[in-house]
Amino acid sequence: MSFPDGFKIEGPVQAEIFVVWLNGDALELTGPCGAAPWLIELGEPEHPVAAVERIVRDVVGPPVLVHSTSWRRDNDAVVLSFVVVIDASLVGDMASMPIARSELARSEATAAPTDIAYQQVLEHGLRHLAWLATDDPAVRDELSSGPWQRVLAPYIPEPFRALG
Amino acid sequence: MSNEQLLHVGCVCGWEAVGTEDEIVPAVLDHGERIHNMRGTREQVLANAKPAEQPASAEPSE
Repeated sequence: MSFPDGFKIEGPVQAEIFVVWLNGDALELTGPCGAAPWLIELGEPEHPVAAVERIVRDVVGPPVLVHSTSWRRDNDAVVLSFVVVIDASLVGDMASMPIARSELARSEATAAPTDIAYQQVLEHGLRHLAWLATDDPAVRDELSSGPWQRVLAPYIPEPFRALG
Repeated sequence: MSNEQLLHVGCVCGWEAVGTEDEIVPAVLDHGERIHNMRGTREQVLANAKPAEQPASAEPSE
């Protein structure tokens, strides 16, 4: 833990969590840190997916889905990105904002993108979720209620990939 | 009303706490562990806390 200008998240492996939910027919981003990426430290011996599920459950409530969607090098760490789907009933007074579409960060043939905005990471995460919603029976089942399939349909499905 | 110095600590996520030493230390340590899975010490909190500019509420705020 360090506090140069307030405290920042450290550690060689971190998770960047995008907590998403459906507000009617609109995808929104929320979380305990507001409508923004939620960073946590990851360490031994807990599995990253288990750590994210545990912390989301403790802080927000039981998630519907927890999926790692990409990774990149940032903040002097390896950052694992997670899309976490929650039920609308868990949003409460957490700040929330509609998610806008974004261009993807594209790699060179043999090199990572030089600059990646969190909106691009989230765009890829939702494309990954769109792919899972059609390819993965467990995800398809969890997202079978409500308009999830319709809301995700405009996202071009993509598998997991490295962003940086 | 206490004359104890009010301190301020902010987190990269936007969370802030303002309060006395005894109020701010547990608030920051709780936020770090509960929200960010980080563990720290009282000394780490105090080494980087800054005097609060505004004499507002002494309650840690989220």
